Amino acid sequence: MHKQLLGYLSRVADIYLVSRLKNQRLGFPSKNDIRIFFPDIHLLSRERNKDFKYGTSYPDLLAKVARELKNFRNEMTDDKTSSIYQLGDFLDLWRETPEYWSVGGTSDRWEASVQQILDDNVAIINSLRDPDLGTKFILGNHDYDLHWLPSFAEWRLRYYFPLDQSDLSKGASAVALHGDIFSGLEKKIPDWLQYLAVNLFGPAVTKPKPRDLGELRDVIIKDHSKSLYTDYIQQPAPSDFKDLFPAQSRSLPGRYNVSEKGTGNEKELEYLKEAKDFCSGINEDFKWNIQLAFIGHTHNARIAVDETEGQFFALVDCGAWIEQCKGLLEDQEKVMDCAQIGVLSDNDARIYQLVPKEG
Amino acid sequence: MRNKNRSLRFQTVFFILLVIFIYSSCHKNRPIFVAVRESDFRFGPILLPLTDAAKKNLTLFLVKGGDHNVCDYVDPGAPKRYEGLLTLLSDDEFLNNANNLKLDAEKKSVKISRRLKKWFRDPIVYQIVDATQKRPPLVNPISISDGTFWWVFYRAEDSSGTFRIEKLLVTLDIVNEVKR
Repeated sequence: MHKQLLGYLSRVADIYLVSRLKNQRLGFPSKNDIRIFFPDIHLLSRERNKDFKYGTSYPDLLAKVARELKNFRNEMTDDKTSSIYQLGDFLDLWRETPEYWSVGGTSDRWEASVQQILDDNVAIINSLRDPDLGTKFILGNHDYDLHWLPSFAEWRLRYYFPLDQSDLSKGASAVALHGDIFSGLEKKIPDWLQYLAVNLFGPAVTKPKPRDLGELRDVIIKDHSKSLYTDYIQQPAPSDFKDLFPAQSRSLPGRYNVSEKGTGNEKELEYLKEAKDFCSGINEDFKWNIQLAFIGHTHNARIAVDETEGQFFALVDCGAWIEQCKGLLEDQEKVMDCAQIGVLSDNDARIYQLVPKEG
Repeated sequence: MRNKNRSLRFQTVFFILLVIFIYSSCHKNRPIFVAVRESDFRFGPILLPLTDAAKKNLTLFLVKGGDHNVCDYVDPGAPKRYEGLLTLLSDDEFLNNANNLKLDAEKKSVKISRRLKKWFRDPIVYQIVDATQKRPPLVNPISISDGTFWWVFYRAEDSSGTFRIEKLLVTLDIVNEVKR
């Protein structure tokens, strides 16, 4: 299904492989099921966009990719299934409404500001929220407050991929979430709130309950601190991918640009330990065996692996659709706007960088 | 003496203000009605008692976080958490009298029964807005919330004049006030 997907995407973009890990220990063996991940997009209103160095990359391409994915799904044979995810920070409510900068403050114009973002990005909203695409949206730390609004009812904190949808006892194999909880956020949540969240509302907090977890919003606001995000959001300099491999090449390496615990640098291994510990906790609670997590948040696309202590774990950070990256394209270093997606099928996890076709 | 009177008056006023403050803080706004959400975000109405198949389908809906469009698990703790409740909703003896949902009706205050406290919180809401129906119901259902979902228990009068719990609809909650 990877090949078929690339066929659709290549109609609208040149596609380069950023990272790939093909390994049966990923725990997603199905050849007939594919998962596709859009990372952080950070949509703003047209007016507000002018105040920041970085806005959403290639907006036209983003809408086109979503439409091609819809074609891909519609033209699939009946024995195949697909799911699309947006890993959080779809809208950037934090940068859009300055009132967020004061702790606990919300603007009376807040809903109008949210609506302005939607009205100024109609093509992207219509394509990504198309019911036929069925995108599953995840709450991020820049759009956490969407959970207040009824028209965003389908936004969740995380999704676990079941091994058998009709048999809960078989458990789940992977998880998709934004990733901000790995940034030390949970350490800032007071113990009593963690207890409340974890023990009274299920072993895993899934959807914030406004009356009881409104305080989590305050923690997120404090975590943003005084950040204005004027010059950058997550990456002060372009992420360096070194070699970018044409994705449709016949000799695609099975393991490409994967960082390992013990040999990789700090940046490439960021959140690997936290994600592994988090999934270990879930595995213990439910007797599952999740060894794979998909996140966004860092805007640094990479795959990192921890095979220590006899327990394999892989973190796939799907990058972003904002800020910049650089890499070698045909032996020339090129700086590009980040336009990455993650893909999973047949125990094969990949991250692609998309570039609009010229002309 | 005058100072003592002034001090006493001040303490009395302070105490009254404190009581008012505490009361208003604790007294949350009570929803006037429950809105039945779009079809992707509701389950039912289904007849009670729950059959094994209905229990399984409802559990799956809860695990999916109340969204039929989702194929993944959103709330993996749901089966264990709701198991006892679904067992209760399979029990004819419990369902035969709708008053089992609430405390003794002879008392002035209407609260959910002790048997349901494990899953639900006050208040009980009787008004429902269901745009899937032609008109408001003649017999108001009893709706109670678990914090994420409203569980709407439709009642039917039997020959003895009591109401039994006949059908169940579970709908995702709607927040109608942004925290300021």
